[in-house]
Amino acid sequence: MNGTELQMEVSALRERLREAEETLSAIRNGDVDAVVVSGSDNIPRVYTLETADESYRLLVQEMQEGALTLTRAGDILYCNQRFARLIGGGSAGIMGGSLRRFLDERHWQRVADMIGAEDKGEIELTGLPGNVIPVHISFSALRGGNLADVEVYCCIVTDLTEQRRTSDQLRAAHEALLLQVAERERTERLLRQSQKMEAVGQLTGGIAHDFNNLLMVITGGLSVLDRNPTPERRRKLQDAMRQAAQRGAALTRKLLAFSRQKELHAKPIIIARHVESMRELLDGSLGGDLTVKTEFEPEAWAVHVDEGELETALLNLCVNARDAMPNGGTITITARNRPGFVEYPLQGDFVELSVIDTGEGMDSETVSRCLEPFYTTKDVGKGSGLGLAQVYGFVQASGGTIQVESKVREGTKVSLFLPRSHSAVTASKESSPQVQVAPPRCRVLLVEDDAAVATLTAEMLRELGYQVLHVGSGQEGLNALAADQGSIGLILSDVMMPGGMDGLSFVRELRNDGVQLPVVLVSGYAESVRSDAESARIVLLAKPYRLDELGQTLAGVLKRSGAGPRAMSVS
Amino acid sequence: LRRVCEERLKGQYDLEVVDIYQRPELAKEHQIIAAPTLVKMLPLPLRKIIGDLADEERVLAGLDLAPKNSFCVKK
Repeated sequence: MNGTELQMEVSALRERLREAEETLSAIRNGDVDAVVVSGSDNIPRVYTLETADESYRLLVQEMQEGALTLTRAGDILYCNQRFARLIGGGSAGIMGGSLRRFLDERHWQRVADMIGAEDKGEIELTGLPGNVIPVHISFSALRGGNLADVEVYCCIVTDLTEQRRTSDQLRAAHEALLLQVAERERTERLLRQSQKMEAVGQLTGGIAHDFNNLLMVITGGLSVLDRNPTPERRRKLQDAMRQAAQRGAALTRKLLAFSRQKELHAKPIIIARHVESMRELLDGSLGGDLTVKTEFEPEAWAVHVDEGELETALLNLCVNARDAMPNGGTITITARNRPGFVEYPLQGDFVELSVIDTGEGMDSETVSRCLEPFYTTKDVGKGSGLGLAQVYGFVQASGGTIQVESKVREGTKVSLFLPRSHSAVTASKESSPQVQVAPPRCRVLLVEDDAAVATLTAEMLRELGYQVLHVGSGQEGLNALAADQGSIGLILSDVMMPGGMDGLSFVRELRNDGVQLPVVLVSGYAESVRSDAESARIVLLAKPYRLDELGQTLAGVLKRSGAGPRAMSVS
Repeated sequence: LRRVCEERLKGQYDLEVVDIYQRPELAKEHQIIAAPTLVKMLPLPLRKIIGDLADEERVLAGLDLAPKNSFCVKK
């Protein structure tokens, strides 16, 4: 080795020495985090010094979840402070012991299964003071590193106490809310009821007055008839009484329509044709210095509405228009197509039917209230407050809407938007012919509990040529039929009857007894029994009815029924 | 360390950070016995700086303040 080589070797050795001293110094000064040592199978191992993993240790100690390491048998090797606080003890007293200490038998069984299965779930821990702590617990095996050969499990424990409390509070709040909703519904029911009562109160003022006038005409007329007036006076009185009764029937129809309990039979109708056919009726009921003009779009669509209700609605609108023009004026009725009409939630093809007057008009306050039932600006006895309410009810039930425009001293325009009908228009029903029905001369069993109504009905039946057997209840009717020798060809029964057997159950009893005679039920409130009657295939006749209506109904039923000829042969 | 390199050797260095937990075989290859260790591989001679790398002067001295060539650093 020459001098140069020697110098290089000294230099290299110095460098190694410097490096060794620097390493030692760094280790002594705590400047290193880990040292590398030779490991088995020639792979170096890294030993971490405490300073290096202090942050991880702190993280585990202070995290919001309880953290444990434990053996498969449940022996706790390590627990963090959060777990110790949860259990209510010091970690030194917990480590080394079994997790079983903090579980009752039932929960321990579950946990013992969960450790090996690395499962998770909700259980209850028992704290050192004996308190129950709901927790979510999850287990996972610690694999790799120095633990490769040891079965060590990590366990994370989440305290659910707060969560349970929150959900309890939520549940309580929810229940309180339900109670409030129920209370509100109850209050709304009360409010509706009181509004109804208020309406009934107004009704007494308006309608009762009208009704009393009608009854006055009838009772007064009857007392005069008792004194045997001259034939001419008798006829006049009878006409007046008949008119009064018809007005009474119209009034109840309005009431029923208002409460929407009257049946609607919608069908396709061409408004123009219909209004023209009403022309006579309108002119008759309006009178005075009024001109009625009609302007209909030539190709106006058919609408899908109830014919009678449309008539009533138009009449109501025209009567209102007339009353708004005490000194005469013009009523214009128009109909025009409104394709693609939109007024939420309605959308589609509508026909706008308007009644326009040149009268006093209404202020905005009146316009906003004019559709309310029983709201009227007319004097007591002149209006029931049901006119526009009927119109409103009709339009609603027909799937349309209504718009009212008015200016004081200029006039009012009421527009009904009625849904277009896409079905073919059927011929309008002709008004009832006044022809007398040929008397079939069979015997009718009349079941009616009201003696006065029974007397009148029996009289009408006899007038039509029938013989009458009157009974006062369903039971009496059954008895009469049992005793009858086949003379009875038809049964006419009231629906509403006291004594536990109404008209429908009476008919059911009949059918059960094998009696297949044709039956007609009469009711002042046909809607309520309509579906039952239809399913039992019984004809319903709505009260009040005229003589010709009664005659036609009975004749029709007898004709359709196989019992007709047999009954007719009996008399 | 990265800041020092950026300030003094911008564009002229290549710094590689190795986690010896994950790559223990590299610790053996470069005869590392403690972490952190900074290894200057190029330019020669090879030099190791062990311990606190936040001491800027010490790091610069260890790197010979030689901004010419790229080098590799190992932890």
